[in-house]
Amino acid sequence: MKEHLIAGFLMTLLSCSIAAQVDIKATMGVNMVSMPGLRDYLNVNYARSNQLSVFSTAVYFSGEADYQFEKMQIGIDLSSETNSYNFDQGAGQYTLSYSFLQPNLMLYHFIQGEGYKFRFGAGVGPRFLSVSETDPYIITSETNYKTTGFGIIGRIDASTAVSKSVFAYLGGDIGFNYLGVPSSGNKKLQAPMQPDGVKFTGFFVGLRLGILYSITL
Amino acid sequence: MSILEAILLGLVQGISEFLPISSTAHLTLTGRMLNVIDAGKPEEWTAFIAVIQLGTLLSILVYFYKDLVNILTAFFTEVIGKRTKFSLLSENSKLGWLIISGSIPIAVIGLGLKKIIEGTLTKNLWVIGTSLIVLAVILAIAEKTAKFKKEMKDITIKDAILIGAAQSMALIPGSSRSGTTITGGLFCGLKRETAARFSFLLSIPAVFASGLLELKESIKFMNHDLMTAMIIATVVSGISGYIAIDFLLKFLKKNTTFAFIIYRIVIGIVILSLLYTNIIQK
Repeated sequence: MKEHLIAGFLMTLLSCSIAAQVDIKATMGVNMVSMPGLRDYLNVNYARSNQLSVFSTAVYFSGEADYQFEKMQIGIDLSSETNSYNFDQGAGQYTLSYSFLQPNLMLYHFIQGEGYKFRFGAGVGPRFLSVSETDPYIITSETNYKTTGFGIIGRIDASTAVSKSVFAYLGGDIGFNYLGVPSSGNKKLQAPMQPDGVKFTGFFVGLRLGILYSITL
Repeated sequence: MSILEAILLGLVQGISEFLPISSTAHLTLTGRMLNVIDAGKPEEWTAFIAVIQLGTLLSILVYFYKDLVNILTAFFTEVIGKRTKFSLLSENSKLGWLIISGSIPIAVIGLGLKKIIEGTLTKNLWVIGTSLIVLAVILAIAEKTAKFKKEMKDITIKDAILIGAAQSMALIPGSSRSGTTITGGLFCGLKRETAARFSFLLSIPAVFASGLLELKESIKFMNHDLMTAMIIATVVSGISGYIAIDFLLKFLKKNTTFAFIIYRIVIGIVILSLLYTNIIQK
């Protein structure tokens, strides 16, 4: 009985791995980001004549590897979002730039046919934020802040074959990132109007263009 | 408009132009969220939309390059040159006539309602949100009642005019040009992939004419920054549009349009909810 169970398990594993695929994907795109804490900080302190709107755009790069089984895919996605703001302050230029590193564990349901794949899914993961600020009125050198947090992401994407294994990729993301206040040693990123510090917590929507390579195992 | 905003709007246009989900709705919503639509100058935004449509038009021309060469060659040889009777025409020449006859309704209605189309109605999110939902319901009815039998060779002039009339319904913002024509095609008994293919071919004269007309009229609104943004958005929309066409034609061979119907209803409800709660303005 035990032998039969082991044999059955091995056969299932073998049949899964025969049908399995690994997809490797590289994309780039643009995020539409709303971070109220950051927007208030910049609008009150620096963007006096050129107020920022609710959403701003940020560059986004991503690499992902997904393992396919049955009608599902599980994957590791490593994304990076970068943005910068510049304002003339009379004494010089104020600059704030940030970069998010966003690894995600993703789970998808997919529909696959002749020459196409259509997926939708969600993921979750930690967030690593680094912020660089140069304020000509306070300090002349750059200050770097860091913080961490977590985020969730929902994704819908479509890929169409350009050759047997290579697909052109279009995708859309929606997500939420919860982050602490960035700090540099004991110094927090803060302003008189935000004594508790500037939070980078926010919501985003983004579109991606990329390439996907599919390997059948 | 920044370069990143232009890239994003180009992506939105390319993806949403060919999928039956309304490019106008997505562009207007994105434009409102990014605050790039000047309420005092709605014609600038209309011009921007029309010009970046030329990028997606280019993607159709590239994608259907061989089909278009065959249609034009056959049409000029048989119809213009030999004056062959309709019943004796080759399939490609007939397709030429189908595209011409299918383009008549939108030409008449589009020119007649030009002022309304260019005005504030095309940016009204109440109209856009409602028509996203209404057209989704009509597309769902078409999916449930259609016969899915006809291929390209079976399309008649009557079908083409009916699908063309459906295309003119796309002048209502949020209804989606590909959405209305695919719906019209399904009601006429076309297979899903055939309806989508004919929809794309039928879009060429309409998008080309409206794009050029708007380009001519928008030159007076253009400054260096807007021109740069338009060029970037047009190129991006062309690339993403090509991928979207290829995906949709493959997808509709085996699948229904219900994924798009659900999406339209969800995004319509989201827009109406955002308006109702005053998070975004109409």
